[in-house]
Amino acid sequence: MKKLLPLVLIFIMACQPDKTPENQVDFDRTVFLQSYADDFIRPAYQSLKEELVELSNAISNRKEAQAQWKEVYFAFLKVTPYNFGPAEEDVLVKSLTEEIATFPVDITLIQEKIQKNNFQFEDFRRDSRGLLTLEYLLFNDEAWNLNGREEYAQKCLEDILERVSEVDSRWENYKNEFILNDGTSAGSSTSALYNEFVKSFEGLKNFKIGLPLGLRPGQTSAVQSNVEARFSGYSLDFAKQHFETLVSIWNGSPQKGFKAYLNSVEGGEALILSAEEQIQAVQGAFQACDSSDFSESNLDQNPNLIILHTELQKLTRFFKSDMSSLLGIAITYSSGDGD
Amino acid sequence: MKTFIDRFLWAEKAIYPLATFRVVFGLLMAVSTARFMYLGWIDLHFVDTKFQFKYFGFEWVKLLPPFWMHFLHWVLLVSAILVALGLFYRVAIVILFFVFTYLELIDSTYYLNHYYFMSLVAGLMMFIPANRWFSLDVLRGLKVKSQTTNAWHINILKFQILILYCYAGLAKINEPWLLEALPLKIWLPASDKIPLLGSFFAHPMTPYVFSWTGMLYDTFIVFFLMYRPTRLVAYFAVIVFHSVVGILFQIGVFPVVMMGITLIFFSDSWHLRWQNLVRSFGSSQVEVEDKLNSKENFSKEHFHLPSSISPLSRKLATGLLLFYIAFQLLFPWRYLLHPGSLFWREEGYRFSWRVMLMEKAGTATFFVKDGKTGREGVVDNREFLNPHQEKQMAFQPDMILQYAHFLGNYYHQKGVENPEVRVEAYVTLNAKPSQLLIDPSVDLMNIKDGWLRKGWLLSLTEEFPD
Repeated sequence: MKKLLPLVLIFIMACQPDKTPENQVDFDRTVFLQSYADDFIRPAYQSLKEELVELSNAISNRKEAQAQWKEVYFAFLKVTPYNFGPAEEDVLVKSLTEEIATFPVDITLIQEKIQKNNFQFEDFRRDSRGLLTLEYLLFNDEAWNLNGREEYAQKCLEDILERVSEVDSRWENYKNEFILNDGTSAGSSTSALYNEFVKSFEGLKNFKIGLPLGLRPGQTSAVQSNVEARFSGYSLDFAKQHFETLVSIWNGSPQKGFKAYLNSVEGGEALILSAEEQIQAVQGAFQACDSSDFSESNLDQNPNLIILHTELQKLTRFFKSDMSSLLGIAITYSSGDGD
Repeated sequence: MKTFIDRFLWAEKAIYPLATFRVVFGLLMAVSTARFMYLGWIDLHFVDTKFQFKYFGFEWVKLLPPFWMHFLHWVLLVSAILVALGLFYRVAIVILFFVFTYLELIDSTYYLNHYYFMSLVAGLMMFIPANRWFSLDVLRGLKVKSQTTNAWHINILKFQILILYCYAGLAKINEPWLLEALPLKIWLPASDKIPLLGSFFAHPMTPYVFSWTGMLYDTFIVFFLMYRPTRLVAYFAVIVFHSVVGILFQIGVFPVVMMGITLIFFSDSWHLRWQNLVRSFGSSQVEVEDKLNSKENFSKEHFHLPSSISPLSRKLATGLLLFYIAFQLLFPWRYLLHPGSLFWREEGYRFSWRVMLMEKAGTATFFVKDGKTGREGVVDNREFLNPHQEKQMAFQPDMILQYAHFLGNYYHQKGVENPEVRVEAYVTLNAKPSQLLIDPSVDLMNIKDGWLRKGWLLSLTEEFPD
C-alpha cells in the first residue's frame, strides 16, 4: 500500500488541473444562515406581528379591517416557508402555518361557536380559527351581521397574535442555535430551511392550485370551497405572493443565499440557469391568470390555472432533487442511517 | 484443492476468536437495536406507515400490528444480549436471525448493505457453536466446554468480512469514483463546518485522496489484517478510517460494527488474554489455561477429524458451505448480465456491497388517469409515503413500479375505473442535471417486475453511455 501511494498522488495531481470551475468560491454557511435569519426570517415575523397589531386596531371598521387583513395575509405569506425551529410542530401544537392558516374553514362550526360564545382556540379544530376564519368574518356579509361576530373576531385575532409573538420571541434565542448548527446533515439548519422551502413550494402547488382545481386522482370536478381566501377573492394575489416569497428565498441576499451557494459548487451554474428559466415560465403563467379564474364558475378545467400548475410541476425537480444533490443537503428530517 | 478445502473447513482451531466474535456481535446488535428504539424509529418505520416497499420474492412479508412491532424489538434486544452472554445461545441466535431478518424484509426503503451483512452473519451463527467457550452456557454446565472448534466456524465469518470489504473496494473501481472523485467531491465540501477537519474536507484535493484511499482500503484491508506482521497497523487503519467516515456521514453504528467484527483477525493468544482478563474480574478463581496460554498451539492447525460428526454429514456440510461461498462470490456480479449503466438502472445493485457509491436523487410525480372518463390527477406522494420512503423511491425503478401499482389499486378502490398510472421521474446522478428515468407515457399498470432486464427504463445519456 505504501508503495502505491506516491503513484496515486501523482495520478491525482495529473487529474487535478482545470477541473475546478473558475467561479468556485469558498462559501460560508454561517454567513448564509445569519443572512437568512437577519434579512428574511426575523424581519418577516416582526412585520407580521406589526400588521396584526394594526389589524386589531381596525377590527371594528369593516372597510379598514378588510384592507388591513389583506396586508396581514401578505405578511403571513412571507413567513409561511419557515415552518421549523420555533414554528415547527411540537406535540400538541402544530406548525405555525397549520395553526393560523388552515383552510378551508368550517363555516357551520364557526357560526355555532359564535352563537355559544365558545372561544376555544386550543383544540384540533384549526378550521375554526386563524387568518382564514377572520377572512370569513370580515368578508362574508352573512358572517359580518352575526351577533357576537366582533368578539369572536377579536378573540381569534388575539390567538393569532399570541402564536406569532410566541414564535417571534422564541426566534430571539433560537437565532444563535440556528446559525451555529451549520452542517448539512438531517437536523442541521440548512437542511431544515431547505426542506421547508421545498415543502412550502409543494404545498402551494398541491393545496393552493392542484386540489381546488380538482387535479388530484379520483377528483371529478373542481372544489371551489378549497380555494385559499375564497371570501375575499384575493386567491391569485396570494398564490403569486407565496411563489414570490419562495423565489426570494431561492435568491437570498446577494452572495449569501441559496443561489450564491449553488454558484459555489461545480454544476451549480447550470442548475441556476435551468431553474430560473422555469421560474420565469411560472411567473409568465401567473401573469396570464386572472383573479376570476378561481371563481366558482371558472374554476373547473380552468386552462390558465392548469398551465400554471404544469409550470410549477416542471420547477419541482430543480428545487427538490437537483438542488439537494448538488449541495449535499440531507432531504430527510430524521437521520436514517446510510451505509 | 481437496486438502485445502478440508483444512479450510475442518481443521481444528482454537475457539477463542469465535467467542470474542460472538460477544462483540451480540453487543453490537443490542446497541444497534436499543438505539433504533430510542430514536423512535419503530414508529417511524413500522407503525406510521401506509405503504411498504417489498423485496422481489418477499412480497408476502407483512407488517404486524404496532404492539407486535415494538414487542419484536424487545425480543431482538434480549436475544442479542443472550448471544453476547452466550446464554441459551442456540435459541437466542435463531430468534435473533429470524426477527432481525423479518424486520429488514418489511420495507426495502431501509435497505443497507450492513444490515444485510448482519443478517447473513446471524444466519451463519445459527450453525456455529460459538457458546462452547467463554459463555454462560458453559459456566452453567449447559454446554460442554471446548477450546477448539472446526475451522469453518471461524473461516466462514472471516470470509464474509472479506467479501464485504473486498467487494466494496472493487465496486469503487469505476470512472466517476476514481477519476472525478464523485460523489465525494459533492459530499465532502458539505462537511466543511466540522471542527478542526472542516477546512481539510473542503480542500479540492481531498475528495481524490479519499476516493483512492477508500478504494485501496476496502479492497486490501482484510489481507493486511490476516497477515500477522501488518495486523496491528491495519487495525489502526480500521479505527482511523471508520472514525473519519463516521464523522463525515450519517451511518449510525456501522463504524463501530466494523471496528468490532474485524477483531476476529487477531491472534488466538490475544483473544485468550482479554477473555482471561474478563474472567479474572468475574470470579476469584481464575482458570489457568496453561495448556494454551503460553503458545498458540493451534496456529499450526494440525488437521484431524472431529469425532462428533459423521462422514456423511461432513460431506453434506462441506457441500452446503461451498455452495454458500460460491453464492457469495458470484451473486454480486449478476449485474454483468444486464447491459446498460448499473448506477442508472440499478439492475443487480442491492446485495452486492455497493456502499456510498453514488449521489442519486429524484423527483417522481405520478399521474393517475381514469380509464373511463379520461380525467387524470396528480398524486401528492406525501399522502402515502414518509420523506425517507419518497426519497428512496424516487430514483429506484423497482420501487417506482411497486408504488405505481399501489396507487393504481388504491384509486381503483376509490372509484377510478381502469386506472392508468404514469410517472414523470427525473433522476440526478452524481449531481448531473436530472433526466427522465422512465418514459412518462407508459402505463405502469401494464408492467410487471422481474429478474429480467427492465426494458421500460430510459437510457442515461452522456456520462455512462447506456
